Amino acid sequence: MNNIQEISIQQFEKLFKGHYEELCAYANHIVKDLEEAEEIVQSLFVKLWENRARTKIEKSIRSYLYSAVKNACFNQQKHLKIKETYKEHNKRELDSQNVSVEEEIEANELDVKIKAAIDKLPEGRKQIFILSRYDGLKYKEIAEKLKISVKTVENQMSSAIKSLKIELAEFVTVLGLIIFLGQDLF
Amino acid sequence: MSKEEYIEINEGILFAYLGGELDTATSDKVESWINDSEANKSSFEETKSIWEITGQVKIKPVVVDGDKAWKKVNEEISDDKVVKLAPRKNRTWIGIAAAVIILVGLSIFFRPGGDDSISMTNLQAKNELLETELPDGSLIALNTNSIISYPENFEGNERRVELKGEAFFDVERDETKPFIIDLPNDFEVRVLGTSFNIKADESETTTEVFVASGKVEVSTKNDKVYLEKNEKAIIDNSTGKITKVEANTSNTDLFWKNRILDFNGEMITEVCSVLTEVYEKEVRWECGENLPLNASFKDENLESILEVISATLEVNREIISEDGKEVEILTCKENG
Repeated sequence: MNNIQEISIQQFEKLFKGHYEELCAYANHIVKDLEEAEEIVQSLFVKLWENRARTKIEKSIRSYLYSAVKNACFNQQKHLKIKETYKEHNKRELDSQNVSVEEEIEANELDVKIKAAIDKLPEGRKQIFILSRYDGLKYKEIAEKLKISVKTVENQMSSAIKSLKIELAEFVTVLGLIIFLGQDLF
Repeated sequence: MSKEEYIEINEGILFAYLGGELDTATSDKVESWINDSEANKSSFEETKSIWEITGQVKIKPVVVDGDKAWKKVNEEISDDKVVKLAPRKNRTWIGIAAAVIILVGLSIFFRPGGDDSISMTNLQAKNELLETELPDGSLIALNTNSIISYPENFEGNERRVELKGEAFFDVERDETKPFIIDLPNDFEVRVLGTSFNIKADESETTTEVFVASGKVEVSTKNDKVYLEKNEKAIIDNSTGKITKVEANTSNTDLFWKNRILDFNGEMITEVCSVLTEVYEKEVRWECGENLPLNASFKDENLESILEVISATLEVNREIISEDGKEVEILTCKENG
């Protein structure tokens, strides 16, 4: 659905819910502040709805949204410092106009596979895993936050890791290589 | 492995070990477990590789609540009411007049009015409740996924609005101008002044009208009933046949609007099913014996209600994930 001009509110809700999480992750990656990332993505969608009649989407909606998030992040004056850091990165991108944001963010095969594997976890388990691995929360802190027992967190983590072992088996078996070559491999 | 201070080593513990969050004693145990056997070692290596791999993502996954975020966004965008002009024969004049007025910058004086042009306001509540006052002073609370259309002014000798979905009406009394609600399937509700709830979702098989005060006339093409306080009409959407029932006092008809839940000795399993229904999240009792509950909640979220219930009945709360959905479970407290 590339035509946003006649989008119904139901379709718009679907569009929002279908992309909210990944867009927040992307915005968070740039502004390093999840709360602000969420605000950026939300106001982007409000503006998109208000301007839908005048909005023409040339490529896919997804890459349009990613570009819009990126622009919104860089337009945040608060993040001048981050802007500096990313100037170089931006310049590189301008040099290669053909690379869409989508291609840029999907170029990393490992990233895509890891995310898909995490996405396959049941909602509660996924949340616990992300809080532990990516937000750096201790099991005890997760237990308090979610009002569950530490034992439950531990068990959920075990189940999460077990499914990740299966989902990411191809990478687990080339473990030696990954450890030696680290990120250079990808 | 020493039997005296046994801790079960699983992937979760190993991950905590890798993250450096275990105390020294537990860490030591994990280390000796790893060195206990080749099988343990390879299990640890696998877990470690998951640790390493997941640490390599360029863009960190995040936990966000898409439903909550959508509510916020929807709240902002549902403020823009859709105002449509009804189709009419000679619209050109109005069009030209409007254009001229706008050109000279006096658009403020332009009111779509007069006998042959009706300006309808369509008010749509998506994920949030909306409350509004109609031109005659009547109040309407519109439930989610509902839409009401009404004119900018009630001309003529009746007040006519159109509803799809669920709404609570508190109609301003005006005996010279009956208040009429057009519902899907050619159903009609006619009143003078009263308060009542209508549930008319086209996707459902029945339409419901519940009267909180006053008198209401409900009619279909082939049936008609009068309702009084605490009476409810259930209309079969396919036949138009109306059944009149005494509304159950503990019903959840008005919960969406007043957010009140009253439990007077209802059994906990019954309470759980009410919570499941009104909060649209499964709540389950898994602590043996069914117990009665006396409690009253106004405007509370599910979280605080469950806190009260678990404290009152001395049970634990657990959230588990089932088929990708979160389920709230009330379980027995472990002893010791």
